This record gives sequence, structure tokens and C-alpha cells, in this order.
Amino acid sequence: VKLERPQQEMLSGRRGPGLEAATSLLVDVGEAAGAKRMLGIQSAHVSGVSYLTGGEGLVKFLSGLAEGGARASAYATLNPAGMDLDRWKEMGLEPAFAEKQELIISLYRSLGIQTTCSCTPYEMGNVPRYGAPIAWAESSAIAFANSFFGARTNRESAVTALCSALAGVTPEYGLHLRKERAPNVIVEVSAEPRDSTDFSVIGHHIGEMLQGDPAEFGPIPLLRGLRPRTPHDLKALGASLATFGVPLCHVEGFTPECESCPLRNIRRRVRVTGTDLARWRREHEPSAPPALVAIGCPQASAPEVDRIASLLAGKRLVEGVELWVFTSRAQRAVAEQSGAVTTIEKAGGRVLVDTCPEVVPYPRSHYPSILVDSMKAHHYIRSPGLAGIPASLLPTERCVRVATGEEKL
Amino acid sequence: VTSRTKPAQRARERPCAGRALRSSSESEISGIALVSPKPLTFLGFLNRRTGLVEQKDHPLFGESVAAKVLVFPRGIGSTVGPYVLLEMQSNGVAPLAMVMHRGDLGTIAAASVARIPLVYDVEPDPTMRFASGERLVVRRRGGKGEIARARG
Repeated sequence: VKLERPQQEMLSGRRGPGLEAATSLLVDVGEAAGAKRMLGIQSAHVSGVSYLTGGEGLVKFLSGLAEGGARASAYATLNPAGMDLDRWKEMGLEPAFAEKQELIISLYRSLGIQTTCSCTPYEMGNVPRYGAPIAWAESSAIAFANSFFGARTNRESAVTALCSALAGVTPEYGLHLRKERAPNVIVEVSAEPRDSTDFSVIGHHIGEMLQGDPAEFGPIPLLRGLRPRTPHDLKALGASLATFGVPLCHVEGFTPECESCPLRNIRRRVRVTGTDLARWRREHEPSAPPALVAIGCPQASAPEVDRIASLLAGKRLVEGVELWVFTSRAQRAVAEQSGAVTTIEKAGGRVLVDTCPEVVPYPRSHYPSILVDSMKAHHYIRSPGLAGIPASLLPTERCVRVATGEEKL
Repeated sequence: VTSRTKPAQRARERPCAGRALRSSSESEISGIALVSPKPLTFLGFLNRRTGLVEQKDHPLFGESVAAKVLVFPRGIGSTVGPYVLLEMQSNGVAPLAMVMHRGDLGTIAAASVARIPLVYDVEPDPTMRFASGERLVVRRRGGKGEIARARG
């Protein structure tokens, strides 16, 4: 891999051991991937925040970089933590966990990473330009940046995204190259989604069909017949697809690279019908009232928080059911202006920030079952490696109606 | 008197060779092999305190990777893999070296960060050549690596 002078200096150790370590990692990865040079990045988005999954190894790595004098060279945002930094006690979490979580956040801050604690960096100023090289981790944000903006990022890991943020570069391979961004499967969609939950169901269904695809940089579907109405629909669709390793999807008539993408890599065609969508919805419906309704995966934007508030206006949650709405600190500030946050809290719900439905170490005895409005949340909450709690799925509107007792199960 | 080696025998003794990380220094390491017939993932597969394999349906369930030369077909991406290896290292239960038939960027990043000697894209398939319990020598030099049985 050819390095420009600033990165050569970093690798030589003249800019301190932290940047030396970061550059050395990028060189190892770049050489393994066959990259010929490094690309300057517009931004990074760094994952690996939760103490639950990162553990002491994460603390050790961040401390080492910080002590080695490393500071971010590129603009970089941070993924959600395992708790709301202000309200973790209300979430039933232990002080020991909270202390470690706060330490991790402060280490990221000292490395010059903006501690946004959000999986939707594109909703708070980390907005990549079409064609720009970026180094993002967090699968749903990667899918959104590649698909919606047409920016270019590989599926970076926690460590590679962080090292790119520090060194300001990423190795040029994979999805940074135009030819690797062409679709390799066509999906004909005749199902008609009614809300973003349906988009997440369609994404999950496609993701499962494409599982085990041998494409080096993951399956890249071209979706035909699907009509997203808003970026939120694509946010839900992309998050589900990303659960199965899809880094980029082209939606005909909606995403920017569609018109120009060649079809010579297409190896497969699949379909999604209205029957598939109806079956999926039916199979994941709850059969009993949940202990907790968790909305906001990916984290809800201000308009999404507004919508939940309008469904809750003047109502109260039913006894024995909690409602948590996950959003970002930045989007909550916007939703506070409209009064939406007050409306939700008055009804008995909680608007939580800095965290997300998947990375919370839920006290299981309090929350034996969880109802969600997103297939990605459904997939991971049930995962034995994370919460391992039974989950069910309904569209956002019905989730709220279950929480208020308007809909009986 | 030394007997002439037959060609077939020579082929069998040809060392497994692959690529090594540029960041890692030249070295020769000897250790006992732990060979996994199946791919492995670091999160949820290994206990960070004990170094024991704790994935119940894995053929290596209950074995310790601590101070072993871990030989496996490939890694399955987990974004926090590097942190798992770093934590194992501070607990003194990390593998001594890792040898992979097919390199994946997740495991390569993890080894690079934790500074665990790694040889990847190894041919012939090291999981077919070596068995658990054998003493192996892992040599690395100039971006290349070789793995062979220790003599004697």
C-alpha cells in the first residue's frame, strides 16, 4: 500500500505511538485486501461503545491510543452506548456497568471523536457527499450511507473505523471501487408496504433469502417495484438488509446510483410478494401482552418521535406495560421543541437517548418479553449473544395501541 | 548412511506457507497446535477470562486456546473480535499464534491490534495437515509465513 507523507509520518512513530498503531493496522488490512493506496476520508463513524460487548479489551485499546497521544484527523461520530447516560438508573442498570460505560465515552471524547452515541449519524451533521470515501462501522448506517447518499464505505469494524478516524484515511478496496458497487441480485417486489415496519420486514425477508451469498463484499440487491415514500422507509429497509451483511442496496427510482449501475454482475433473481409480507407479519405478532414496548431501531428521528407522540396524545399506558422510545440526543432536542417528548412522558412512556433497543443489558426479570416495530431489533433482542429475550413485532401504530391497552392481545 | 527421500515424501514435508502481517516483526515461535475443523468467531465463542471455547455446538467446546497455535479454516466476522483478543491477552489466555487457511479482514484486524502472530491464506490447508496436540513451528519473515511440525 502506497502511503502519502502524513500517513508515512504516522507509521514511522514520529506523531506518537497512538497514530503509529492506527496506521499500522490500516496497512495490515489494506495489504490483506489488495489495496494499492489509501483514500482521504470525509468522515468516520465508529462503533464498539457498549461495555457489554467491548469489555476490558476495548477499555485497554482506547486507553493505549489516548495515552499514545492520538487525536482524530477526520470528522468522526460515535455509535450508541449500552445506556442513557443520564437515566440509566431508570433502565434498571447497575452502577458498575454505568461507570465503565462512562469511562469508555470519555476515552472516545479524549480521542477527538464526537460522542453522538447514535446509529443515525446522517441525522446530525455527519452527512456524506455522493461518491465520497468514508469509513463507517454500524451496519445500518453503512447501508444508508452507501445506498441513500451514494457515499462509499466498506463494512468497517469497530477497530478499523476508529483507526481511520485517527489516521484520516482508509485503504482503497471493495466498495470504494465503482465496479464492486454493481448489483449482483435482482429483487422483484410486488408486496405493498404500508409503513416502515413493513419495509423492515421486506428487508429481513430478502436478507434471509440472500444469506450465504458468496459475493466477496456481500449481496448487493437491486430492488424493483418498491416505492419508499421517505428516507425513513429506506432507513428501516437498509437496517434489516444489513443484519444479513448487505452493505448497499439499489432501489429503482429512489437511490442515486441506480440509473448508472451496470447489470452484468447479476447472478440471481428473487421475488417478494404480498403473501410473503402478510405471512411474516402474522408469524411475528405477539400472543400475549409484552412487558416492554421498544421503539426506535435504528434510533427514531424527530418526525418519528412526533408521530409516536401524536398516537399517544391524551392517553395513558396500561398497567404492567412500559414504552421506551429510543432516539438520539440531537433528534430529541428537535422533538422537545414540538412538545412531543413531553406528550410521550406524560402518557407514562420514556424517551431515551444515547442507546438503542439492542445493546441494553435488560434486567431479564423485569422484561421477560419485548414488543418492537423493527425486524432488526426483533432479530438481535432474541439473539443469545445479546439480550436473548423473546420478542414480537407489530407496526409502530399498533405497538403504541398495545401499550395503551387500546388493542387487546 | 542417509536414504534418499522419495518425491511423495518430500511433498508431504513441504511446509504450509502463507502471508504474514506487515506490522509483525520477524520471529520463530514454537507451540502446541489446537486445530479447529470449523470456522470460528471470537464474540460468544471464547471465554475472555479462561480462554476456553464456550460455544456448545463447536467441535472445540471445552478446549483452551491459551498459549496454543490456533489453526482454523477462517474467521466469522465479529466487530469486537479485536477487543476479545486484547482482553484475553491481558488475562494471559490469548493464543500464542494463529494460522488460517483463508484470511478474513476481521481476524486480520484483530491479530494486528492484539499483536498476535498470524499467518493467513495458508496452502496447503493447515487444518487438514496438522492435528491438535502436535508441536508446530511458525516462522515469519518479510510478509511471508511458514508452518511446519517441530523436529524431534
